[in-house]
Amino acid sequence: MYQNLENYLLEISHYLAVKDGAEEILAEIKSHILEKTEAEFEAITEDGISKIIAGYGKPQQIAAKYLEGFEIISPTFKRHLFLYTGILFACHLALTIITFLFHFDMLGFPFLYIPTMDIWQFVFYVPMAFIYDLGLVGIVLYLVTQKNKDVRLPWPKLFSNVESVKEVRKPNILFMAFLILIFSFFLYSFIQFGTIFFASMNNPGNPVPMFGPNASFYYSLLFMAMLGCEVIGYAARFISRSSWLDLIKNFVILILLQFVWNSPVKADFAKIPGIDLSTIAMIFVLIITIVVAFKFIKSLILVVAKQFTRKR
Amino acid sequence: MEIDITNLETEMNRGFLQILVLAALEQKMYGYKMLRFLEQIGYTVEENTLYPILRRLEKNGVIKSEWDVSGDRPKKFYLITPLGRSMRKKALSIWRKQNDILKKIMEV
Repeated sequence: MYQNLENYLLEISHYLAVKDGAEEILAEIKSHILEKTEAEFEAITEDGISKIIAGYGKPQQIAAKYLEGFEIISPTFKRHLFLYTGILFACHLALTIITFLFHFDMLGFPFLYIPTMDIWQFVFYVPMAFIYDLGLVGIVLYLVTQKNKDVRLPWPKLFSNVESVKEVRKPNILFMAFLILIFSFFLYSFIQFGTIFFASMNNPGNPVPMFGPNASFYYSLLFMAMLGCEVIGYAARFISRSSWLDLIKNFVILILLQFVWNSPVKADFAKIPGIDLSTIAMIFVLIITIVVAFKFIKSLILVVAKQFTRKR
Repeated sequence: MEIDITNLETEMNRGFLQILVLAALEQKMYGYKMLRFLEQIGYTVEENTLYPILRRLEKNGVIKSEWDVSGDRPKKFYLITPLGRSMRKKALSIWRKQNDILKKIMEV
């Protein structure tokens, strides 16, 4: 029993993830080291064994040579791993945003559970969701590799070539001016009347606000911040037409929308006979949320698509 | 500047070593003896390269092995199989063909 040899073999065994025959491999290495030690030093000693072990190689390298051709995930699936993760993450994120905005749990047995979250939980949940999706796709590709690594996995057409991936549209100076005009109008209204939402404009000099002063201030500020994001995002296209800009812009707007849906300020709507202002407002915000969420997911997929088409 | 051909050498040796092993194993031999034998005929190979190749060849059925436990230490002996002889014949034919092609190019 030579302790240094046993330790060496034990370390190799930690890396030797072969289906069967690990014991036999170790026995053969042991036999070889002892044989060589005896041949070179005439007797088997711990010192002699140490010298032979030093020449035999590092345990990781030894194990790696036996594991050639036994990849965990086939190298040909490397791009599939990131592409599928990107697509899965985009869907996961869309569902997360929906549950986050509408405050409910989502359970899709057995792989999906999205709890009700506040803003900070949401911020921490998103990167975790990405790691989860990466792991899930990794497991699937691992199983595929073990079953048949030559199988042809689908590659969505959208990601086939750069030409098929739509660029972020070229900015239009007139539309930019229009956006600035709208923003200026709201800003003026906010400064002048303390709100940008009105229930009635019959008397332009003294319009009826849609909410009380607190809610007016809160919601006006949020919607102006959203519009400000749109203006800045559109203006940024004159400098760069990166999909990342759209992605970040839509993400910020979604965060702002969260403050609308989960407002700490009570929306005390003005009373107008025959008109249910709260329902109209809810539909209005819902439409904005759906549109922005859709744009966000689209820009996320576009970012992923560009990353992959660039490398192909 | 001297070019490093270590990777190329490794790649070339991988195939060549398999042919050598199939040729050498007409006689029953264990790993350490095979290393010595290859060294004597002028081919040096690292032990941690030879053993995984022996294992792969055995898995493919072109060589077979048996443990001899009669001596001081158990030793794993290897011997070529009929399938191995057939593979060696084909491999040598490929090797000769490659040599001929190379000769033709170099002569031009």
